[in-house]
Amino acid sequence: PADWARAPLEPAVRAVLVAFDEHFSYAKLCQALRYLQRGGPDCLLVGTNRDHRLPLEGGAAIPGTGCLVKAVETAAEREAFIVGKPNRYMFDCVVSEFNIDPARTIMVGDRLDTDILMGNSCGLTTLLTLTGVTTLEDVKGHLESGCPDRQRLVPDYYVDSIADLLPALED
Amino acid sequence: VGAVGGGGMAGCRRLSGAGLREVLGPAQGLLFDCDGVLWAGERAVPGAPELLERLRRSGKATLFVSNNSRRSVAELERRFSRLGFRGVRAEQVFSSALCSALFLRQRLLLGGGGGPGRVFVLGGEGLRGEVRDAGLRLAGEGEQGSGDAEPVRAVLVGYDDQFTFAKLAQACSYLRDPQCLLVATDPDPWHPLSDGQRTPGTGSLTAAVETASGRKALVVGKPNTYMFDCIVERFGVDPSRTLMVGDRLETDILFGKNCGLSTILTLTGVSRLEEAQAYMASDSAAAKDLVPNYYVDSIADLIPGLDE
Repeated sequence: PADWARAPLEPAVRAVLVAFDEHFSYAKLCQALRYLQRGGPDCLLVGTNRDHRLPLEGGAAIPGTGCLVKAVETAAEREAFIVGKPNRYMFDCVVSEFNIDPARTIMVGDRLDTDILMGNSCGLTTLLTLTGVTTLEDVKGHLESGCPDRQRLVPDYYVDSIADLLPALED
Repeated sequence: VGAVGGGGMAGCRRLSGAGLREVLGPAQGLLFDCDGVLWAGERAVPGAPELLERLRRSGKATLFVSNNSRRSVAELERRFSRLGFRGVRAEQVFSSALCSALFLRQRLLLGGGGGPGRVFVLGGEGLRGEVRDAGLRLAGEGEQGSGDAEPVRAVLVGYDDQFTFAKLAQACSYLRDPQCLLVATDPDPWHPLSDGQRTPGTGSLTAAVETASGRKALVVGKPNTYMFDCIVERFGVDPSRTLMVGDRLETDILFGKNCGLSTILTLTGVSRLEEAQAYMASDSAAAKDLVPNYYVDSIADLIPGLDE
């Protein structure tokens, strides 16, 4: 690390972007910290998303981008700007390109703390599908919790699969 | 102005002159952090070797408590000698590497309930050696699960400059077993390099493992008190007659507070006096615990407080 810290830094770097990186390493973390320290507030720290885990078949999972973002945030002692759900930046991108009326738009997702939370925060109608990571028990837990933060994870509606929407579109 | 711990907020007073003698006189022993206190990189802090020698001659115990999990105690003993500190014995040195190994030995070997299993270590050879010396077996890297291999009963996160995504994924697979412990050597987010830059610490790697596994790590190092328990077990130290000397408010000074020790901040390392004063002025109760009782510019300033 002392040697790595002597390697030249590129002069024009103004942002560190943390995304999914299966080749993440201490050396890269070290470089990120050097750029952030050198730039101070003039060097942005951006993360694509905070997902903890990416599920694989059979119940296994691999670490998500959120882990790498947390490593950089901890070393740099500062918070990243997160682009992805549940933050609203991506919704703002959609709105700026397509004339969306939130009151007439449905957000469909399988994850409460990203898809549904973003939808609820942006004033969309939210629809949970059960073909992904979330079970109905998870939702019930939040619904019955009485905690406002957890209530925001509860969707307006759910379906077992998005295929269940087809009958409503026939005719 | 006696060396009294506990109760009320510390005053962050400069230690000098008569105050020095009043504080050092009654002390039976001093605990020193190492990096930023005794040395910075490969340079001893000027006067530090002489201070330790004078303490020894005054009959005061000197012990060392470091969050640095890179080096084995044997390597640290050689480092002391190489940097000009005479007569420091391995048994006086408590590193987070050693104490993490002792902690795991306690929980795995002596805890009963099935075999001790193996430990998956994220760290260098110094840390791995301490775990082996404690009688524990290490899980290899890139191993495929085999029915006959002993299960991995703990993941130990230390300073690992060879940390990779693959190792993070492997750690998580072991942690799917709720019986598998997650232990971290220390919480330090970064460490200073001699040119003023910073290098990521164990705390940043632990944050990645915690996030991926959904578990909270048991942290052995300062400011948690386990290392003090190790010290007391070996030497029977009286907290009310012991001073803690360190350079990092969030680890050393808080550690001292948590263990009931009076604390001295030295300004040759990480924390600035302004930070201590800011904590003192803060309304938060937690901030008060980060304020040292005393401060010095360097530990060499303690020398006049000792008998000739």
